[in-house]
Amino acid sequence: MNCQNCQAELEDFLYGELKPSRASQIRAHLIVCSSCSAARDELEHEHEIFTQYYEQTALEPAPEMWEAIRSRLHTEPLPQKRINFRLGWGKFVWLSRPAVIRQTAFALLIILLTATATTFILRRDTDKDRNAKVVRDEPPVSPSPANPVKPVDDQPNQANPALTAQRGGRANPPRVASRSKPLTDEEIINRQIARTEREYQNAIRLLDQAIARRKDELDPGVIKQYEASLALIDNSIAASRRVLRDHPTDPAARQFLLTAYARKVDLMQDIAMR
Amino acid sequence: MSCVEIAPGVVARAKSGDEEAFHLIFNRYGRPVLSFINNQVHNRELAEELAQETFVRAYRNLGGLRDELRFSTWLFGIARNVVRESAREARKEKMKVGLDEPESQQLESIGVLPEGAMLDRELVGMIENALLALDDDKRIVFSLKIFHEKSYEEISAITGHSIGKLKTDLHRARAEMRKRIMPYLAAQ
Repeated sequence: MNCQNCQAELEDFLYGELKPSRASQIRAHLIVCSSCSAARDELEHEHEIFTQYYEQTALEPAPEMWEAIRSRLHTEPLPQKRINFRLGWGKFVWLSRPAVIRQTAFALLIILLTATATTFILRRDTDKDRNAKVVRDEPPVSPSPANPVKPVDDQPNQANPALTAQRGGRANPPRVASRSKPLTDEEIINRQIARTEREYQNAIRLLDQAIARRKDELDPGVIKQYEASLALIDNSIAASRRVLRDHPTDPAARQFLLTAYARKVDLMQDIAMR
Repeated sequence: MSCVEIAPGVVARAKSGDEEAFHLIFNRYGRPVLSFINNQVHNRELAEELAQETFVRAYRNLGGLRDELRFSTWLFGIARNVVRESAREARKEKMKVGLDEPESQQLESIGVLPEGAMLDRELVGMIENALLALDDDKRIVFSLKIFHEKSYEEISAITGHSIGKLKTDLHRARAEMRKRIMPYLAAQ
C-alpha cells in the first residue's frame, strides 16, 4: 500500500465501502504514514462539519403534514392506473412501458419483413405462372445433346414398382397422404396472407391498449388527428378486403391490404411512443 | 442521521392497509425524506408539498414493494422521482423554484438554524450555497451518502446511476464543497 493508493481510497474507507481485507491494509498504512493520517483527519473533520450541518438544518415535519397525508389518502381518488386495475385493465398496464413498446416495434419490424417477403413471393409466383403459361403455349422442345431427356429409371423420385421388382428390390409402399389433397400454391399464399394479417391484428391490439393507457396524457388535438387518420386507414383495409373477397388471387389487392395494415401500425406506433 | 430501516413487520402491516403502521413509517422517515427533498429544491413549502406527495405515492404503491428490508431505499427512490417530476413541471411552466436564484436561496438559508447551533450561521449559509452550486447528480449523491449514509449500492438503486459514476460524482462533489468552505475554516 502506498500513499497514492491510500489517499485514492480514503473516502471509501471512511464510508465503510471497502472490502475488509482492503480496509485492513489502509488501516495498517494509516498507522505508519503521517501524511495519509493527516489526510484522513481532514476528511473526518469535514465529514463532522457536514454531519452537524445536516443535524442543524434537517427539517422536522410539522404534525399537520401527517394530517394532510391522511386526508389525501382518504379523499383523493386513486390514480387512473389503479382505477383501471379495478376495472380489470390493470394487467395491461405493462403494455405502456417503453420496453414493451420497443419489443412491439421489433415484432412489427419482423411482421413487416414477413409481409415484404410474402409480397415478393407472390409477385415471383405470378411471374412464374405467366412464364409457364407461355411455355405451355409453345411447341414442346425436342431432345438435344444440350438438353437431354432423362430416362424414367434415372429419376429417383418417380418410383416405378414394376422396375424396382425387376431389380430385385422392394417397392416402397405407397405413402398415406396426411391430407386428402395437397395445398395448391394459391392456398399456401392465402394462408400466409391470413397469418400476416393475424399478426398485424395482434400488434394493433397491443398498440391499441398501450394508447388507451396513455390517452389522458396526449394532446386532444393529436388524438383527434390520430382518430381521423385511423378511420381513413381502416377504410382502406376494408376496401382491400372487399376486393380480395371478390378476387381472391389478385396480387395488387393483397399488397394493398398488407400496406394498409403497415400504415396503421406505423401510425399507432408513432402515437404510442410519443 | 442515517436511515436505520424500520422493522419489516411494520412495513408488512402498512402494506395490508394498516394506517397506524404507515403513521409509524411516516414518523420514522418523515424527517430524512423532507430534508432530502429540501436539499434538492431548497424551498421549505415546496419540500413539504413534495414530501406529502412522496408518502401518498408510497402508501398507494406499497403493494409493489418487493423487499421490505429495503424500504427506505424504495422510499427515497419515490422522493427522487417526485422531485424530478416537480422540476420538470417547473421548467415547463417557466416558474423555476429557485435552484439558480441566489437571492431566494439566501433568504431560505438563514432562518433554519436553531438557537445554540454548533455551526455558526455563516458557515451554514456557506455550506448551503456550496450544495446549491453542485449539479443535480452531485447534490443527490452527496446528500444520500453524507447526510443519509446510504451505501453506493442503495444510491445506485435510488438514482439508477452506476456505482462508478456515483463514486466520481461524490468525489467531485466533496472536492467542490471543500473548495468553497475551506477558506472559511482556515480563517477560523
